[in-house]
Amino acid sequence: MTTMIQPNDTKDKKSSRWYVIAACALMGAVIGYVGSDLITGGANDEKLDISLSVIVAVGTGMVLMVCVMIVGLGFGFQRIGLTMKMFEDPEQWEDERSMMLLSAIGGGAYALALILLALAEPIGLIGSFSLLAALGVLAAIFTYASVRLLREYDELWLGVNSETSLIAFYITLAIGGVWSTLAHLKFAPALAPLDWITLMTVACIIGALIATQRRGMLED
Amino acid sequence: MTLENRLKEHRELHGWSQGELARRLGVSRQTINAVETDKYDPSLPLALRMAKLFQVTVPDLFIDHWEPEAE
Repeated sequence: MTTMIQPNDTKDKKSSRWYVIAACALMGAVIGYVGSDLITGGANDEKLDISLSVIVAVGTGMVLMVCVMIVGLGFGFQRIGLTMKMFEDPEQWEDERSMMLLSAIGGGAYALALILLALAEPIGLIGSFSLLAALGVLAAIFTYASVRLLREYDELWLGVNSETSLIAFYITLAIGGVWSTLAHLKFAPALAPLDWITLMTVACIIGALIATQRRGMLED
Repeated sequence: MTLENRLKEHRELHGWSQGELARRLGVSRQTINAVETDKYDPSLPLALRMAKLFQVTVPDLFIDHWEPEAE
């Protein structure tokens, strides 16, 4: 999930692209909140009682979805990408287009899977069997895009990938481990299965941001 | 700890853009950028390829200030 913005040629420029990521996250959070509210409000006459787990999972999925949609648009349409300064020139767009589009497709499939999963039974919006079939298709798309991406990675991107995985593992271990310890000792409620999936997703997003930032790939 | 390097100097000496150098070395433009801005140390095979391309030695391209302790 390393759908990042490209750096420029000089090291003198100090401005950062964090504001783009922050805007994506904010938009995703708002869309996720409003979307889940509309979906669950519209599903039945009476509003469903949605757990915090579902809201956080849908919000996370929406943040990811908005990010990959922006990257997909930028690398799908040269003019949009140039306007958003995702790349420096058409040559770079041509070179990196397939990799970024694969990244957007994989990330989009993952985000959609997370959102559908969050809205599935026992909330009752999507049946478990239909969802399982949909998740199978999305998992196949995600796997295909990931394998194709791995073949296109050079050593820098492989390094980003490895570091992302490592950081995500330690974040999951730290938060999940501490939380589970507290739950086991009855100091806190245990994490639900959906929470674990959301936690791993958030950990991967944070890991990708840290790994790319460390290599100067988020700087303008 | 990241090494200092003279990749940008050598690249500009040849009049190549980052994209051109990346294509010649078979890596992404981000890799060249990250090396030039001291954010990433390339692998030994890539450093050797860079040196071969510019017809210099690896220590000409990458400067390590480490010195062994005197015995």
